[in-house]
Amino acid sequence: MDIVIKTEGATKVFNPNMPNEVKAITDVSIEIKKGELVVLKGPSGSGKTSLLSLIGCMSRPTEGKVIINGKDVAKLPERFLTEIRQKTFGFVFQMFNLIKGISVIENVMLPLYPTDTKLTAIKKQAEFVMEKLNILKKKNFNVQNLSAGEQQRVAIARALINEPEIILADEPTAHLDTKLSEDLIKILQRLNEDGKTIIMATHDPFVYERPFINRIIEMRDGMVKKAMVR
Amino acid sequence: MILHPGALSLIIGSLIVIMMMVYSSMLGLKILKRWDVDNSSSEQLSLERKTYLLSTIMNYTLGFVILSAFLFIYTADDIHRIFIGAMCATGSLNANPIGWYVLYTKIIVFFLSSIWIVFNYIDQKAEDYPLVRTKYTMLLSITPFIILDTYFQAKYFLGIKPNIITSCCGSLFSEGGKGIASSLSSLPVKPMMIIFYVTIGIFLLTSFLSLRSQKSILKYALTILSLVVFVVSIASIISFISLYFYEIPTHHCPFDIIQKDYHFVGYPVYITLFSGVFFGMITGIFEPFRKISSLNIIIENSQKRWIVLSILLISIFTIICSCPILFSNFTLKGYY
Amino acid sequence: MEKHKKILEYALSSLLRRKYKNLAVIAVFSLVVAILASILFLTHSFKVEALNVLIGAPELIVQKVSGGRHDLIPTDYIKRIQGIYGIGRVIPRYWGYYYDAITDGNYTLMGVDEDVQKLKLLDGRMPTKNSECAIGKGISDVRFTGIGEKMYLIDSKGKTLTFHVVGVFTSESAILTNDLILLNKEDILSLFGMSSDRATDVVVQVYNEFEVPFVAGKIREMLPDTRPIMKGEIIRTYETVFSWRSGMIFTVFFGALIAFCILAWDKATGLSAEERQEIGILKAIGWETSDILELKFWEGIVISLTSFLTGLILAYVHIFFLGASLFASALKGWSVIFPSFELIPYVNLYQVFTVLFLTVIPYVASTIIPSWKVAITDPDVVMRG
Repeated sequence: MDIVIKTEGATKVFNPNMPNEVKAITDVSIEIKKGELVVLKGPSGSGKTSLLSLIGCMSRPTEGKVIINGKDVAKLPERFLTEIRQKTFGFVFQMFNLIKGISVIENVMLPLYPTDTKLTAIKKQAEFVMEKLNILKKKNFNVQNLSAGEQQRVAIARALINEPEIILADEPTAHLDTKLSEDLIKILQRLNEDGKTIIMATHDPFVYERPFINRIIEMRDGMVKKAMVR
Repeated sequence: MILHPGALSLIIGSLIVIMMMVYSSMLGLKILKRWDVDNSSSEQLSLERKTYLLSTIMNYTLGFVILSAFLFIYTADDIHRIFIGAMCATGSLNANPIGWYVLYTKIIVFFLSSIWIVFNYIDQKAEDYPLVRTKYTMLLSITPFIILDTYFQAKYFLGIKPNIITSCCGSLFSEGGKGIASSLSSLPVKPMMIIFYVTIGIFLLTSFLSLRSQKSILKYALTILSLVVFVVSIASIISFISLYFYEIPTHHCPFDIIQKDYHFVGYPVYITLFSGVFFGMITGIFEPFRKISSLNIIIENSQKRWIVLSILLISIFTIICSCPILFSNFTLKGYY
Repeated sequence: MEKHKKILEYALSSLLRRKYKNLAVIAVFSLVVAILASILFLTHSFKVEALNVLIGAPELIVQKVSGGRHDLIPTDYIKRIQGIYGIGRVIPRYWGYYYDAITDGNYTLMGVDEDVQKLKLLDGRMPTKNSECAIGKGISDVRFTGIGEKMYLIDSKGKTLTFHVVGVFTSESAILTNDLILLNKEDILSLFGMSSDRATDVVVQVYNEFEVPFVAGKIREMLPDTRPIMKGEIIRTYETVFSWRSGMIFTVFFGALIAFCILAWDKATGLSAEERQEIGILKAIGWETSDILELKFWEGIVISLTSFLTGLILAYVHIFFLGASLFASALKGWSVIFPSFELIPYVNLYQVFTVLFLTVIPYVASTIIPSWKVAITDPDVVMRG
């Protein structure tokens, strides 16, 4: 299987040389293959979010390499990072991060707005994805009027609209009850079965104690402790 | 004399632009000193972000420069009644000769700003910002011209004394006078027509050849030819093209064609001329930068687009200028 | 192209979601534009009217000067001026100012002559004999008199004279005729107590308009106690005065403009937490810095253009329907005492352009840096909650 994501000695330092300097991750080297479902496990402050952010081309490492599909993105200018992010990744955030005041379908379509795809095509794609996640009925509702579970599904639909090969999820079950967490995990499992590579950062045992997870990378204090393969 | 609304607007606008340009230059200097594309530190990131600000400022500056050139001509035209003997913008500009320098600097700033914007555009298409040093050095050289333009402009408006007797375009652009304008006006029509159409013909031919062949020499030739087309066209407008628009064999003024009486035909004429010349020019200007590996293909593709645009615009320009010559009832036969 | 359309659409929806804040900016901006545009429309309207009127004015007027002030000119000067080469007819004019205590206004009284025959009438005709008069619309309104009715004037000896109104002038010629009363030449002479060998001034017809300055020079040489006034000079004076006056108001208004720009800057910088969050989310889901800059650009354009158009319309209504109540006095000068007249709408592209320059450009400039600061938000920020 191909390696889609590889980091070599990745380090991320916030506010370097300043009194509030923080070393988020230090010398992390990992490899993730295509189609894997990987969990980054660790308590808060362990650096999982920062690592996810580096992998997802949301920020650049202070040192080291981040290689996506064979290309080192560590030193790319911002707009090229954004391009890669748009084409390769779908992000599901901890706090849903939907835009209030606009409808469900608009939220889902937003990632494709700054592209040259026609609005009608984007709409069709959005409806297709929402149908698969069972929220098409509520497409014209304002997001504030949805339940937590529905909002989560909208967030996932948004992450899927650009047909990404890799999905990154940051503490996806943090604000969900048991039943909704169960639903979420089922969705992610299904996506993985469809061939998507999934990387989840979580410290919820409800998530990481699952048989279909290929690998757990344990993190503590910004460094990788163990990579357990199932 | 500064208390004319048009003058006030120009001066206020120019002062705002100067403030922005000085700020940009300071930023540009910082970028030149500290830029290091291999460094992924937060300082480098912050510099990269500043380049967005500079691009935005320069885009607005260019927009302003273009608008202010028109506003300047219009204001000069609007105040012509204050001067004895002035019938249009030409008279106003003659009342205080610095006025012509304002026009020249505005044209220079227009071309420099447009070239900078293209440099910026090309630079941003490559992954390693190869043109950063060139770009920001160029930015530093545009600022003095903008300051000069504002200075001349202020001097012009401050120095206008309404009692001055000035000459209108009728005497400036007349065949019997002294000076460049008169010389241009008195250029013999038939030879000038030939020179005009032959120059355009050579330009278009060279453009077509540049599209098909990758030879650098053709691209450089295109730059030089663009400048020649610019000069010859302006001379031709004064010498004979304007005569056909005005249908008067002695009215050579290049400014009156932008007025309502002539259906604002000056706008398409000058817009197509300036932009057509511009695109022809930059084709050769960017040729030496193809040596940079990350830019080679980008520039090559852009050059094709520019050449096509240039061909289109210069052709439209020529057609507009030729229409009255071919189709109106006015003829210079027997007059020259 | 598609991309720009979509970003524009999002910009519009974003503006609508923050209706109140944006409406406040638009309201202030429109007011600023309206004030500016009002000044320009008014000035331009005056200028155009004055110029239209002056087109018909005589090329050259000769007045006698005595002790540095205007004096009545002897009619035998006419023959002497007539002798100058290049001159056509030399026509004496009889006119003067009349203060009317009843309405507290100054009227212009003029003796009927050739020039005046060209003016348009609303109704009726020109006076052809003594005790007849034609009056301007302003006078007709304020004295409550019209065709077939009577007009009372007091002569230099305090005697009240009665005139029959035979014509009233139209409003198109208002700027010339609003406060004008036309009488027969004899009536003027007796009203003002002028002797018959004097005229107020003379009009000189010059065959070739380019020769006017030379003819004026010759007249001055021949008759050193006269002052020839050329039409060109009058036009230039009006032009300068109007420009100067409007420029003055502008300068005063400049303070308001600066205050507005500070407001614009402040509004653009002071993003609510919610707005900041929104930009962060957009960056996180794939919008680039240049896309956010474009979003801010569209927002700025929509606000600017809306305010600009609203301001222009407000100005137009203010000037041409409401009579420019706010500025007219400052612009018209002393002659504003009485009477008033209707302004005819003259708007041209140049003024619109000038207003655009003075308002939209400073506004855009004051929002560039705040917009950029917003656009460079780290997409990372959104991950940290």
